[in-house]
Amino acid sequence: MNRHYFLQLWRRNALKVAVVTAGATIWGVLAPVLYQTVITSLKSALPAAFTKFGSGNLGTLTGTITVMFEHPLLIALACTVAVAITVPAIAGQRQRGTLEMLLARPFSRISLVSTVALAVATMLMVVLAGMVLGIIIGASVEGLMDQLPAGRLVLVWLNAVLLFSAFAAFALAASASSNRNGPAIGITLGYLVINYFIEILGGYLRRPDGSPEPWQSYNLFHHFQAGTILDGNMSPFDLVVLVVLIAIPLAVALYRFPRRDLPAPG
Amino acid sequence: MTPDDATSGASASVAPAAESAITTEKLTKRFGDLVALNGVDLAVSRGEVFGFLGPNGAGKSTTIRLLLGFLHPTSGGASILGMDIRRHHLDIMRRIGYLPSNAAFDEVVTGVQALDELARVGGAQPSRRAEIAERLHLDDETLRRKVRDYSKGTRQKLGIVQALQHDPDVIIMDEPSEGLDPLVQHGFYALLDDLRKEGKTIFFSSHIMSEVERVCDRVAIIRKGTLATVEHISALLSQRKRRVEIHFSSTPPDLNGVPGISSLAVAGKVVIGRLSGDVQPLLKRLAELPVVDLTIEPARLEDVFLEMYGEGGE
Repeated sequence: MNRHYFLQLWRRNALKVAVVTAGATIWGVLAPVLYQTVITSLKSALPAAFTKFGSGNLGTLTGTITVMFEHPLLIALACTVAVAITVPAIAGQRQRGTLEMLLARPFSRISLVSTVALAVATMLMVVLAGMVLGIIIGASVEGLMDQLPAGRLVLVWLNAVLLFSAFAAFALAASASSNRNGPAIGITLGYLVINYFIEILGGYLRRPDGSPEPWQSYNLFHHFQAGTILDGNMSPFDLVVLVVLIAIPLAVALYRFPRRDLPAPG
Repeated sequence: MTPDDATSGASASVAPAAESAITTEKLTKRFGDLVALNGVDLAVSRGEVFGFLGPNGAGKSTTIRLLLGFLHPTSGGASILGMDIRRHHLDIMRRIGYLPSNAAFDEVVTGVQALDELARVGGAQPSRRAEIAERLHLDDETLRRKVRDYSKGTRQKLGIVQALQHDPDVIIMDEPSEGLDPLVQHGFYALLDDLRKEGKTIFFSSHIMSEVERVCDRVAIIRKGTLATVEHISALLSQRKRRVEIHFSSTPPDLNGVPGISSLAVAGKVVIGRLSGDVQPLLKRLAELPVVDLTIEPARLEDVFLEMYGEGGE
């Protein structure tokens, strides 16, 4: 890890992270507000199928929070950090020709990958802390704090950080394996969209007995269970799965990047 | 690299000097079936300015990228300042300054920020920044502007400053004077002279012959991934046949048999030929003859280079 490059990445992306964090905070505020003002008044009229969205359920505050975390808008915000900062840090620099100047210093490729991983992880922590802070603010405003065990929100935050870090780790592996931004961003977004559709489709396509299709669990979003955590039924298995799904692409990046040839750009 | 770079065969080799700053031994790089560099042996002495010549795709950048660890050798190896490039990569990087071809910087930062960031990441004090920037006419006001507003020449100056600001022992430059105006080029060459006097080793690739001739002690010419020659500039030029044109006041005499003279052609009272080696035998012979005018063109590295490439059938 190179402390100076870590700080440099943060300085370069401070505005982006600040804007995304503000967006995530506002989005977090909206979860309890929407639940209280709209959903509670409509839920008796809604068919049960319409209250389900992925792993979330609009019938409860905790389920609504899960839906907000799995909503494309929050995913887009988080990916502004997890993908749009991660990929240019290696593949983007290769494309621009600035990577050579950096690596012509006593700065190993392993150190570069580790530094980018740590910087992006801390950025995701800040962004998602903003989301959690927004949820607390919204719940306080709507008087829903009794339904929101604040202590468990830390675990929700950790679960969300691990979820998006898993996508960031995948983006890092793609970035470290590519000479251009485009292919690395494309393959990462493809991976994200596939995971997303498995989760969302799996929520609607159910077996005759009403249980979800077993293949629904084979996606990263399925291991983000805000509602379950807030209900006090956290499964450490989900966290372990996400840690493994961070470790694998990170190991690929750390193994592959130092062994790759970096021919002259262009 | 293009398929034209593929080659085979032995390379010219140079015995490593006792005090080598850069040594390569049978350095080879293949990209699939393409042989980009084929068994290159080089020895660059400490305190030497070493030019690496060749056309685009000959293997110059591949050699530099192997030395810097951007590429991994297929076989063979290299060392810099006595340290193996694979085992002591970070130690080597602490003592190197590198200017890539077409130096690129992040566009959103100022010149000073770019230099500061690179110095900090490298963990070295930019002790010579002010001096180098001044010699390249890169003033503070320019350095405070965003890189995106820089011309190509100013970017190149910034690239040179980042390569030298931490006072490295070995300086590796890929096409260093690209984009510099003649005035700055002059200052840059003077800077290289001074760095040489300080004992720095400078290894640079170029396809500008006059530049190499002006600043280098020795030169290596690379062709299709194989070293064609490694010579002192003076030795290389002395081997070169110079063009001779002699105007006589009457019918020209037969100059065949004068040592060093060849390829004679007579047109009226003018004789044109080629001269190699010592000029004295020719001058002695001409002293006895009715010569009106004599022109001996100086040997140029460009001619040597073209001759070498011509021999390869290119």
